[in-house]
Amino acid sequence: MHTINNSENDVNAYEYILELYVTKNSSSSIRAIKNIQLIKEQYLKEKTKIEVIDIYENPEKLFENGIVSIPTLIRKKPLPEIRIIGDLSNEQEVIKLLII
Amino acid sequence: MSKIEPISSDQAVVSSSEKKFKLEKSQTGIRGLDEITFGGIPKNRPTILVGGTGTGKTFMSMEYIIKGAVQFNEPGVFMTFEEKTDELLLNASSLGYDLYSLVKENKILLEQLNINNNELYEIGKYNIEGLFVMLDLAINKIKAKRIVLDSFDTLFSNFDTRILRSEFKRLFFWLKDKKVTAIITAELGDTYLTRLGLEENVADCVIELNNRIVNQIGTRRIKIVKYRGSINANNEYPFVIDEKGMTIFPLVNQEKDELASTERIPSGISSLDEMLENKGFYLGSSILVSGTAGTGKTSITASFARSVCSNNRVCLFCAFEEKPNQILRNMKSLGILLTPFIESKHLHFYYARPNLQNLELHFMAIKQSIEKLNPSCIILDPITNLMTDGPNSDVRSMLTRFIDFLKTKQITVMFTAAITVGSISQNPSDEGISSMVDTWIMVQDIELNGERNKTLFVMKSRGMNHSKKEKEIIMSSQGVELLSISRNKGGFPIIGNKRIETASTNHH
Repeated sequence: MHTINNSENDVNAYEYILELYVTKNSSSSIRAIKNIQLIKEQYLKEKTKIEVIDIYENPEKLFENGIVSIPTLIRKKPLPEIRIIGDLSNEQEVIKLLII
Repeated sequence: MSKIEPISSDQAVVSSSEKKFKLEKSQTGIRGLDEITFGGIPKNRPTILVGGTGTGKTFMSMEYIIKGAVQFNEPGVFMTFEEKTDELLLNASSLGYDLYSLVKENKILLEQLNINNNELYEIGKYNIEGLFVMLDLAINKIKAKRIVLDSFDTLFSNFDTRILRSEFKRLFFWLKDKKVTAIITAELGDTYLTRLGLEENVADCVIELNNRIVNQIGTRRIKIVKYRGSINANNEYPFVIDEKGMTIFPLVNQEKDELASTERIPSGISSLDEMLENKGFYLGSSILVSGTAGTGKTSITASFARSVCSNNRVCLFCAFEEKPNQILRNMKSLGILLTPFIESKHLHFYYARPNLQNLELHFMAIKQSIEKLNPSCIILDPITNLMTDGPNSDVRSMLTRFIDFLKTKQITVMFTAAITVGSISQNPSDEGISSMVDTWIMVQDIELNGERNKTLFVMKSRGMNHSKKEKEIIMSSQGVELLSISRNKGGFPIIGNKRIETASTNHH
């Protein structure tokens, strides 16, 4: 798991940059973290960076991005930005939306 | 003067049912809204404000926040999900408030979130904890007592209703727990709201705004669709938005029955007073002077205005036809000198051309003058000019409301209109106007022996034994005078030159 770091290096180094907004103690968040990790390992591998952001630790990020629903996955790169809310339980659907 | 009872029977019913629900209210400070809701919106609960585009949802909710901060010392959060900071600043400054300084003083917190739901997909379960965290931070930051979420539609567009239903319920309970009074705006006929059943099951209060155009006049209206444990009224009330904010015109004023003064005020024409038990009108009553053009309606109102002012009372003369200067000049020729009362600040003129603004704006401008001047009498000359502006039913209900408003303030109102007995059959709404007045004086001219003469009746005058006789009106440099009419053998009235001739032959 990566720490929050939006350096330019990251933008160049990764093909996929994903942000996952969670609350640590909720079951849907825990499932979403597990599901996105599995998708990364199977489909995205090394070229992907996933930031898991706990909204209670970084509430200012909610305001910045207008995040209402938890969990929310944002694909920051490649553009266009897309958002998937929910626990990402349907792997095939997530892949279809996420991977270009 | 009779004592004013603050609680009417209607209100008593409301307060007993309120006790059952223990419903506290949050005063909005919006003119008229606290009246029609009997004290405001439900305190510490969410109210849903629905309406189409441009109906004033954002304006009304912004005013709720500003009035909270300025009048009630209740800090408020305005959270918007669209780019409308400019609009909000404009709204606030049009109300005469500097939003920036209120924000700086931590009285208001503006939070603009850019919600981009265009590329939003739902896969699996979620909750709206993110919104709770943001609301919690915002509320705690300024210790807010009020919050606005503008709007529901931008916030939750593209969301699946299944999860949203339970989450939105959770939001309502969370807001209650947080002890903030919330307004959540939504588009009218929003499918989410309806499908979620939020209006029916969750919200304690639903208010609807609309903006209809009738006869090219835009009329804004507000309706309390639902108010759990309080009001069961589905009435629509017109409102306007101007530099004083939102002003709602209540349909009925509860105190109406409680105010019936026994004090009298002279009409300013001694022979007319004679017809009214020698005392004149009741203070706080409404008087209609009707008749065709040129029958001396304005002279009667001017005589009354002079009487009011000489009794050291304040009179507001609203002229819709002649300009104040014209009235002053014409009345001077009748020996009715009004200029000294303008100088002594007893007499004030409001002059407007009826097509300048619509009727509601007129009444509102007059209301503002009333608040400033606190007159005991007001003259509307003539109301028929106001009527050309809108359909009669609207005018009538607005006039009724306005007269009710004047009654609650115990202001005597005299208005003139071109209503005759003949015109009522053609225009039934005229009868409605006459039925809401206490005293109806009708003037008319009769053509007889090749000349036109004016006569006057007191058609009705509630609460007194008034004269039923027809009188001849004499206007001279001595003012207005009424003479008894005698009749010849054929039953024709002996008036005008015939009266003068008869009088001189009798002398000989």
